[in-house]
Amino acid sequence: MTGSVGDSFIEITRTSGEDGKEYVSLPLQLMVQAAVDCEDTPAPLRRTLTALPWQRRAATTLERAVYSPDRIPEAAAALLALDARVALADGAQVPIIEFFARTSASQSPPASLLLPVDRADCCWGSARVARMSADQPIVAAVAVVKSEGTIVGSARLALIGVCRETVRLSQSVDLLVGKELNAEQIEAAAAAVAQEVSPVSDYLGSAEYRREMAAVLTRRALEQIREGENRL
Amino acid sequence: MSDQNLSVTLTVNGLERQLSVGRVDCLLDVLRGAGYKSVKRGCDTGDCGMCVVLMNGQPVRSCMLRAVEVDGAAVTTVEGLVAADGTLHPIQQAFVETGAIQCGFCTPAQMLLAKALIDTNPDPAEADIRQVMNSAHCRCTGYVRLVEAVQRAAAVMRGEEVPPVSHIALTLPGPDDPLQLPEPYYRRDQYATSVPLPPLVYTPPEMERTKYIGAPQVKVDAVKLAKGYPVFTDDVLPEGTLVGALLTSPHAHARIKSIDTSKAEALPGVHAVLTYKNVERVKYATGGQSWPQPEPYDQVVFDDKVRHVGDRVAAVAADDARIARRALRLIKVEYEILPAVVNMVKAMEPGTPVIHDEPDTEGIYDAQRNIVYHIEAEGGDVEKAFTEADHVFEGEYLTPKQQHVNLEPHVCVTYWDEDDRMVVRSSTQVPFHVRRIIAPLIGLPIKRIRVIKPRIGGGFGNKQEILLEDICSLLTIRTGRPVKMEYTRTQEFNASRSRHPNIIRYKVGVKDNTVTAMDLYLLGDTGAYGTHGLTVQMVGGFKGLTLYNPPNARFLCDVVYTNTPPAGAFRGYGSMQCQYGVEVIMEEIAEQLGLDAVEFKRNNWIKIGEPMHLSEALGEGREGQKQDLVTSALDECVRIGLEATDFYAKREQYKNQNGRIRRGIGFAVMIHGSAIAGLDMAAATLKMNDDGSFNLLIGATDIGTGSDTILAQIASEVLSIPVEDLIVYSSDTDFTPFDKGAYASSTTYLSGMAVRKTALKIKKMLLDHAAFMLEIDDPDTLTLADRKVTAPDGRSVTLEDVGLSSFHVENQHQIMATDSHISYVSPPPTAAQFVEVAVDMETGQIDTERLLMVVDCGRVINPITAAGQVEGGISQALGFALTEEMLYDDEGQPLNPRIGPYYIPRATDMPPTDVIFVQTDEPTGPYGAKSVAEISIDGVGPAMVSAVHDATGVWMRQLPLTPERVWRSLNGK
Repeated sequence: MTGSVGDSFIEITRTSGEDGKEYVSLPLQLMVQAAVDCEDTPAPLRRTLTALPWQRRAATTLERAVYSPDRIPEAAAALLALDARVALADGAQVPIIEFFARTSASQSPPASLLLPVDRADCCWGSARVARMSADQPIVAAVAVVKSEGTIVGSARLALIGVCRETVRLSQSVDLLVGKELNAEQIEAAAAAVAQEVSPVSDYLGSAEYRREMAAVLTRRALEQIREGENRL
Repeated sequence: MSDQNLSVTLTVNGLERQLSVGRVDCLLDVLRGAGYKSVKRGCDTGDCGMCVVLMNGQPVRSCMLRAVEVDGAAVTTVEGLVAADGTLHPIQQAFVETGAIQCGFCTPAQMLLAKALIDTNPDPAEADIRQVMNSAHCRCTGYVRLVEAVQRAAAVMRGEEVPPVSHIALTLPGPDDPLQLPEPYYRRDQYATSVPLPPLVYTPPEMERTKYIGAPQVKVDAVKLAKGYPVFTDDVLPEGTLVGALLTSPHAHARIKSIDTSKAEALPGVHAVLTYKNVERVKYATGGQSWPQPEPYDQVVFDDKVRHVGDRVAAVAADDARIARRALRLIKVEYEILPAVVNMVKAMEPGTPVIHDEPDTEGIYDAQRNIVYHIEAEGGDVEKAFTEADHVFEGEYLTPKQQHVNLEPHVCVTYWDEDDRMVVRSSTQVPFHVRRIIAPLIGLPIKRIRVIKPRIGGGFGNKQEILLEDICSLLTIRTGRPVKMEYTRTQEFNASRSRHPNIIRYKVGVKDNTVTAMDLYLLGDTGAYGTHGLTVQMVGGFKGLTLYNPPNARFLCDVVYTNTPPAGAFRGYGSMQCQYGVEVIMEEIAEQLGLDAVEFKRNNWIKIGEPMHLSEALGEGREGQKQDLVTSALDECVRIGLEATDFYAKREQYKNQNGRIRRGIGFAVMIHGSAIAGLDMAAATLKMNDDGSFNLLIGATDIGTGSDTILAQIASEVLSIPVEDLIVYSSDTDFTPFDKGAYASSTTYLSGMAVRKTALKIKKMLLDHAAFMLEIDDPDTLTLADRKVTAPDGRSVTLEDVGLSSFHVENQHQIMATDSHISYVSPPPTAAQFVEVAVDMETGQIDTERLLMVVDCGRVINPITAAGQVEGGISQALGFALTEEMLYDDEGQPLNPRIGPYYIPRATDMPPTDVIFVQTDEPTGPYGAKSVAEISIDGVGPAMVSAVHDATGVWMRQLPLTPERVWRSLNGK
């Protein structure tokens, strides 16, 4: 598998993470379009990157997408929901959530994105609200759930537009773990999300609206997962 | 460009170029500096996409790339698409043929995106094309013809034959005859996509047939725009041109306590600095309107007080843009910050800070309450009619401050010519008004000023203002050098103009289901200066009370100052705001009375033969003219629209929906005007050449609308010559006759009549000379057709024969004529707008699923350009309805002064957008034409509200219908 970096092509490889899991490694110099074209790119990331205008996908590197999560906020949300990692130039790895939060101890620059390869029993869902379809989202949600039989093994939910930055919520979706993903649990998780977020009003929407949409869009993302629409 | 000398090698259009660049120079500047003027600047922030070039085959935004970073790259610009022999690339050819080129400013970027797409996907789906088009905005076309152009180009490049581009012509059935549209226009089954359809033109059977008029003539400027020739203001600069830059206010309301320009003046490379201290204080108004402009003259070139963020503070002229920007930063300004007035209602409250407290502005209605204009007009006895009415309804409606987002910013170049006359080359809609208005500001008589209008990259009313020409000229006077000034995109938002936000309150009396009285109170926010404040609201009042034309009507209006950027002229000009209000309240009334909204409106809208009751009371800034409605196809427009949308069946189908997504269909009717009655004047000149061709010299300003082309078609029709025999030139105050400019939906109607009258004079001269040549006594027996004059006995002379003879042989004279035209009526085009939506009941997001406009604009001179006007207007109206709103905080600071956050519709946002024309024969218009440019923007707002109500049951009374506003209405918040 190769991807373009400017005029040249580079190998897209798989690697082991510090957590022992296998990851596909996307160099950050890779153009966004190459990441879209890469068959190992998980669907939620591909879909969110595709929201970037075509011309900009060809001219924007993954590094820029990762370093400027506000420019491609839904891609950042997808990375958070996927539990991606960032490999640094010094060989260290940091979870994407730490990378975005700038809490990593390492000062080394990032080198590549690490995306989990093991996606068995994983489903994802996403939902957004915007003024128009091609506009930036006012609020958006991306969720990834791993099932263990009929119950939720793990769940991750990332949201845009409900805090100062794109965030991954923990408390709300933890309610789902160990339970069946049914309408009642989804409603409970959505209600918890509305409590957990701390939105800020701006010209696109008030805090009240954003809080309500956090719940609505979380519910929709989880319903897609329950219906098994999108396998990772 | 910066002054570091680095060298990069670029292969541009196959030619290796070594270019000297600065370390931070962007690729856009380097390419333009190297002569590739097709690469356009629209924002510098990567939002607009005008600067797209292909780098190694991939589209990139050249404003976002530093030239030193792309050393060695292969770059393709539009100049490189043209073959060596001048043959157009199939993409260029398709753009020319389909009418995809309006102003042409985005055309190079769109064509390069198309090339990159087709190179990788020879048969792109419509959705693929729209996705690619998202990378570059277009504000003119609504993307319909752009998509068609790319599809056509791809087909040609695949080796397929493509049919000629044309409209579909049908005979209008009688009111009792069955109506059957071509299947695609129902947009069902396989046509339920956004695939472009040609415009459909219905013609009454009795209407006279024409040859050149009504034909899908390619625009006369299309090829040069397709080739990326340097035709815009900034594309050609005199040797030694300085760069002018404007320092604007960071505060919404402040007094300048001190201003120190010494460091800026001392900066090497700075040639002049202007402030209120060294520029004469001459009162004027920036609105480009006929003389005398309405008072107050509430502006000066520079003032010691600023009244909005973006207001003028100082200007510099320097060797280059970088030095100019540095100089601006060196100007030290000490402000006394004053409380800002942002809310138009609060602006009138006692004790509110006074925005115009200067003693030398005359004509403000009530300066202490910030009321610049107060308007009252009444016909009939409104109070009596309310008393006698069965029902009286009231409603309040709010419309937003919308920005034009003309993709070419305001730009101006000034220089002294060899006769010491000031030449102003400007991107303006009103060259003659510019000349007159800047004369006292720069201290030169009109005769020493020449204004040239090159191609214009979109205006929509924003370039009906004098914003840079005065300062630029003053900098040339101070320096003796050519100077260029151009707004940044931020300045476009903060220092140009916008649509007036309005609060619209209607009170309507209904008796026996007939509207017997209307009272309209209109509150308009003109921002920091008056400019078009009076005339916009008067037009709003007139149209808003004439669509249903009750015999008892009253208009009360206050126009207030606020500390926000000034509002001005914008396509729709008050009419769209008030017709939004009246259309929604009429729907609300119909619902409350249990009436079918279509029938209720039909029973009440203005009919042929009716006098427009307020036409005399409400002119534009002055008393108007007595007018009747003479032509209208409103009945037919609505009938066709109802059929094409299957309106009633859908209304029935959408009853009792209970899903998360609910669908709705809505409609609105509109009228507009054609020029300002009794005020606007236009003129044209035709001059014959030896070969039988003609120069058509017109003061009318084609700002991308295609007016040069349709004016040529009118001359063609009279003279029976093809358009290619006419060399159209517009406009130059030295060489073209007066025209008041491109505004008020006047060019086709008014300038068209001037051309027709002029061409008729020429025709008579041709026949007279041909009769002399053919030794015929009565020229009236001759026939002019197909480039020749034929006698009854079959003998003929060609127009070339006539030209050569009249120039060189016998009865020698120049066949040349000028005529002008003024109309004392302003015949309204009429139209029906249909909108279909899907509303998300949980989020409030609206997805627009179809837009259809059925338009009576009189005779359609050119169906392709006319359809382009409608499609573009609809697109702007969709933004007005759903997203576009300039927002400010309590201190008057703008919240979204960039294209991205402000958000105008992109290609993928546009649903199927269709245009159907119903021709009428307006007796006062050229070959029966009325106007089309502005009515196209009037209907989407109210039709959207109608559709959302159909889907959800709620009435939305504030535009734009943002998801949150809809959500709040749905949830009673």
